[in-house]
Amino acid sequence: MSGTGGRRAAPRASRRRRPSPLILLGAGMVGVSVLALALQATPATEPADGDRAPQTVALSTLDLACPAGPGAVRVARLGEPTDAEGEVSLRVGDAEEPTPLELAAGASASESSDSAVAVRGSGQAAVGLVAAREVTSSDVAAVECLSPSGEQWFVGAGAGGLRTSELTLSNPDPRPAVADLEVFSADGPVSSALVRGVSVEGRGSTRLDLSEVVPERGEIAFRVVPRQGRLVPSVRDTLDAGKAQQRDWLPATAAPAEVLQLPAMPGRADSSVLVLVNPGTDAGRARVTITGAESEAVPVGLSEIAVPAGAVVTVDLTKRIADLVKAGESTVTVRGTVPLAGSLRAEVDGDLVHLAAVAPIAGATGRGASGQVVPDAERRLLVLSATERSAPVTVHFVGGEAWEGRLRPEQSTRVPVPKGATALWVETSAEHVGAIRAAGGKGTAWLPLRALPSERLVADVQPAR
Amino acid sequence: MTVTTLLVSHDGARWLPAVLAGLRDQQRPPDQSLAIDTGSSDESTALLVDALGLDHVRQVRGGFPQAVRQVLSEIDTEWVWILHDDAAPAPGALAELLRVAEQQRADVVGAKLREWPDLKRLLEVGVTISASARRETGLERGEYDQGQHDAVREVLAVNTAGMLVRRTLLERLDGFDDELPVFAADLDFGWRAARVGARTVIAPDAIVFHAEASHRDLRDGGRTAHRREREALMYTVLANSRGPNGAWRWLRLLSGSLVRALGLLLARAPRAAADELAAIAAVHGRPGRLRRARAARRDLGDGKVALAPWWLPLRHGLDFVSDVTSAALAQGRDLGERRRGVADDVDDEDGPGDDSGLLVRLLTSPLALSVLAVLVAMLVAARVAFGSLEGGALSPAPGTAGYWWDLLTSGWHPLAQGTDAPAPSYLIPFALLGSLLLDSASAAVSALFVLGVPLAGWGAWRFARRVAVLSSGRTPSAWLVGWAALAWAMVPVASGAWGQGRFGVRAAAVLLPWLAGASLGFLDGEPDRRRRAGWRTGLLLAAVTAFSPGAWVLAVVVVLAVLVILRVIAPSLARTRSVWGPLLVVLVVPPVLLLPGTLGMLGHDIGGLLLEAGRSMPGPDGWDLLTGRLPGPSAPLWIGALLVLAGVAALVPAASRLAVVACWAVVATTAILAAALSRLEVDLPSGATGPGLSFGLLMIHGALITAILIAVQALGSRAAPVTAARRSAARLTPQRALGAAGAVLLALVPLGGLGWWLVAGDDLLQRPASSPVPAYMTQAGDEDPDRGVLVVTGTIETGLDWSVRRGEGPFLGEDEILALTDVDAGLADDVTTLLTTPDDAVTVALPGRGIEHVVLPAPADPALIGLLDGTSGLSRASTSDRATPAWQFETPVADGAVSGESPWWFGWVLTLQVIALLAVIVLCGPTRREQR
Repeated sequence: MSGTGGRRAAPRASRRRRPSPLILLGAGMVGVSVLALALQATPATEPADGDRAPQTVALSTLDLACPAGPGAVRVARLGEPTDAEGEVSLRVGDAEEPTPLELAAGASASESSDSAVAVRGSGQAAVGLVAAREVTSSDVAAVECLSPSGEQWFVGAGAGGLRTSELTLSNPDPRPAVADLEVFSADGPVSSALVRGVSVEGRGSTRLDLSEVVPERGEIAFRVVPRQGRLVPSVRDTLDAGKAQQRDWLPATAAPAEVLQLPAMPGRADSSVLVLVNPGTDAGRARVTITGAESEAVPVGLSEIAVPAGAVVTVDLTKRIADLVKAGESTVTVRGTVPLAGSLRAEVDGDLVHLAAVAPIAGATGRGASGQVVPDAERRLLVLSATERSAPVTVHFVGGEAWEGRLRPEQSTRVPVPKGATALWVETSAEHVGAIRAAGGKGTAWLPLRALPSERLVADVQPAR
Repeated sequence: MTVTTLLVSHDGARWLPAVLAGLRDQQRPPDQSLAIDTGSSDESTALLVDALGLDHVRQVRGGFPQAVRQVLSEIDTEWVWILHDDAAPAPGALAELLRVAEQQRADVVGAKLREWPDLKRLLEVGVTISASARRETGLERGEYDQGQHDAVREVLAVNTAGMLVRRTLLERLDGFDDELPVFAADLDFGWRAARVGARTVIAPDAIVFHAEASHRDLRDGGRTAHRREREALMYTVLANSRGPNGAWRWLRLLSGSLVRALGLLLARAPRAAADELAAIAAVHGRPGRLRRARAARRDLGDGKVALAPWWLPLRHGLDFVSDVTSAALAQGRDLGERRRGVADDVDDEDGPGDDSGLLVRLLTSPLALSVLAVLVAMLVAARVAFGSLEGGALSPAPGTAGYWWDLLTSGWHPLAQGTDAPAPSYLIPFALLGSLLLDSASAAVSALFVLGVPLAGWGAWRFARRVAVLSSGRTPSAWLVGWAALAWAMVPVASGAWGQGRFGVRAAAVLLPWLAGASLGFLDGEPDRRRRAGWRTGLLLAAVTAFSPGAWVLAVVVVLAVLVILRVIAPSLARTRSVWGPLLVVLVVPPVLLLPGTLGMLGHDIGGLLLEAGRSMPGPDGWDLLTGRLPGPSAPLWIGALLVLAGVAALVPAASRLAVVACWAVVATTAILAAALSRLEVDLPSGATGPGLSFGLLMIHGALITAILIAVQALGSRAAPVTAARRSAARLTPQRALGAAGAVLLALVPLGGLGWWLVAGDDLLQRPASSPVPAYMTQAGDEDPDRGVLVVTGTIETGLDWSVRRGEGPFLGEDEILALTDVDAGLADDVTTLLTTPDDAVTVALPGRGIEHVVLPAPADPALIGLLDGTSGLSRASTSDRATPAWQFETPVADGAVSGESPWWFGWVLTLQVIALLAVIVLCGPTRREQR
């Protein structure tokens, strides 16, 4: 046994033999390598961008240009009044110097003039400044005064046949401005040298008869692209309806988007024609829904509308939506598979009224989110619709009691406008769209709610890395 | 026909017995023999007196010309046969000379000179002289006499050793020129003879064995023979040229000599170069001598002179260059080859460089077929790189390589607002390559990405063989070497460096095996080879450093570590200058060769020296380094992990453990250095970033592959060599099974990488995208950098980023310059004003800063478009893409808005860099033995 044990002991002893220093060194090297790699600092990641949210600065000046035409220009300062200084001035027609307009915050004033009127709000008076031209005679009509802000879209203009439209480009600045028109017709984009490089002299205006520069039988849509300087476009539409001519302004429509909302559809329209344009290079489809006081409804028998690339499409909605909109507080919603721009032309009691798609307005509390001048007429109505979520709403009137209620998505809210009210502003935290419809005598006017200009976003600017 | 033999002797006792015997054995003995001794200090005189008798020996003071002239009066025979004390005639020499003289009616007849004592190598069969004053024999060096030059023909001159000359001609020309005591006397004599209408022919059947004692410096042990020979030859050309050709010949000689001296310097033959210059100086230093010589030759006549053709010096230059090049290329193999030569004499059957019939080898060798298949797979996998390329770290290449040269040679670049930031040094190899590829920069980039992978494999193949031989003293299996080569070639691919456009890593992977191979030269026993290894390693390290700056830092650590270890284990070696000197050379060469970059960086941020080449990319962390993957698209994790496990397992075989531990020491050093460097932060104007660590990945994986190679080679050495039959008959033992499994796993590493690359290969590379800037603005910027374009991206909501483009670009090489360039604060303020609260002043200020256009690449923020549309002083500019609006400032741009001065030192440093580069290349070259 002992012998066996001895024989076993020998290998055990050799097994216990200390490993060679070299293998220890090797193991040490492996260990050091792993340790050092483990201790390596994580590489500096791309520097965090930090907060690059834009800053907001108070609006210091605001220009609004009101086109020439019948009636008067009503200017209003909307939103919660503040103490800060500011003044509003008007420049009527070709006047060299502007004349100051006494206008307190939360008030409105009217200037009767057929000439074009340029409104400028400076300092605090730029905040919440809106203006519109209103015709309050038998033929009620209205057009908002736009501020020069880049491109503007107009859909459903006429350029021949019974309907013709006249585009006026006004230049609020003293130096010349140049604009291009990009015109679309039912057959696709229209090219014409006459609509390229249209120049407008300083503080002047240029008129283009669209039937002359881009003669087209059907409806057209166009985009005004300032190439130089600032310009404010306005479009006057004329329908030759046998005995009498009907004239109305064509409102600017929202930039192409996949969802278009046209609030305050008249309840009893003799005809209603939806005009859509697809300015993109991909063909798309569109569906129409009507948002009523209670719910959304899809018009019966109205299948999907094909919108070819670069083309204008006209759809007669008269019979299909008549029942759905008769309450007079509906919003027409168009959902496209591609970005579309659109407007709706209705004939009410023999008068032409244009509705345009309006861009959703972000909610704002504590001050007015949106507002508009209310044309003076017999029957006046504000239709509001929340786009995303439900929220309480307060509608303040200049010259009337405030109205409180609640906005709900997929529902239109009708807000009666008290007598004597000349302007209104909406205070809500919900994103919303809205428009004012005024009717009286023979005419009907439509004005969209606009976000009240209050502040301006200033980007965080950095050199690229 | 009577002949007198004239034997001229000076300290020729070594050769005289043989010469005298040759004279004695002549089949046609001379009628008279005279010997002249010109003051020998050995026993020459005694030997002459013994052989010829006291009457026939003369003592003359002076050189060969004086000696001949002095005894000429004593000679009355028709012919004189001149012999030197180191020129032994064959027995039939004189008879043949006389026969030819009679037959050809010649005045001078020369013998065929062969190497002493009776060898077959030809020395001269008649000579002439070229315009660059070179003695032309028309023979190759060491050419054997096989009768190929055995035609009797007319020549310019024949060597005085064995020259048979009419006495009357000697008298008419007054013998030889006293100014040519040793060299070129024959050429000068032949030239003068030709001018007087004498006929010189060569008699090839008359053979004289010549020791060329004077030419070889054997006679007096002096080292001036070469210089004196050059001087004599130049003197000969200048003294004999006549007419309008004279000035031209002088110009050609002078310029040729200077070029020759430069060439000799470049080939590391400084003594020969000095001789050349000294010879020019000596000839021109004594104008009176030349004048006298030319006057003396004025009336000789206009006989036809058979000089060497004009193109001969050019051919010699070409031969010289090709000699040096092939020597430089051959020197790579020194150490391993010699070691293998000792260890085994069996030539390897593998290797792509072997020289048997290519097609036969290809079709019969599985290895060759595999190599071919891998090469084809690599080319297919790299197909995206055929054509111009960008993506990841890689910016597009400029139109021409000349653009890169401009960047390299300008101290001021009209980029951004103008900058004196240095151009990255890797542009030197890129520009060189691009110029070679017909001035195409994108071809250079494509070459790196297409050929870089196989080239890295080739370098690794050579290095792996040398390492395997060094570690085991045995030729490695070609499959093993092939594995290592492919594994290495796949490291930059699998790590994602290839697909992420990290060309710095890509290029470093190509160069690293060569660098490692060059550094093996430090193990050589010969100091000269170690010195050359130092310069070569330094040069390659500079190239690697240019692409991957971490290399130099690592080299510093490794060299210091080696010096410390040497000091501990072999203090005497550590004190030897030829040991530590070359190591220090390695460290000094890169900063000097990359001097403009190094110095330029001082003016900006020295940390910029540590940046990875190309656009900024995320760096690897410790885990990435270990597993060989760079952040971004890269091969699956298991490939790198397998290699690491195999590297650990390589520690097991005891025979190779020391070498494997050394490899792990490299890994550990790299890891420690990476850990240290990762804590640094380089704060550049373009933002804080970390030093480039990707080189560490190459080092770690290179060391692991080397460790595995050495261990497998050691395992292979231990196993008894078995024949194929025995191998197939062998039983499957557990050990064998383990080995087979290991081999399969190892093979998976490179094959997995190759497969991934070929099939799934995810990469960021693409054709360069078209610029959002309209072409006409780019063109305007190319023509005038002042006409810059402000490119604004982003939206007001998310923040706006701006950059200034001047012409096309930024191109490869400009990213680093821009990264180092501080943003012009005034410009930044103006741009911020323009994009937030534009006023009239800013639309005037920006053109003053060299901004002509503003471009908002699609999708542009409509609010920003409105803002700029409403800004006075800006008008819309046309663009082809409607979604990309652009504006032009109405104020014209200011001239010279971005022009500036190079740093004052730039030109000097650039010159120094070029000189240093040439010097290092020369010092890398093989040592030229300056024996004649």
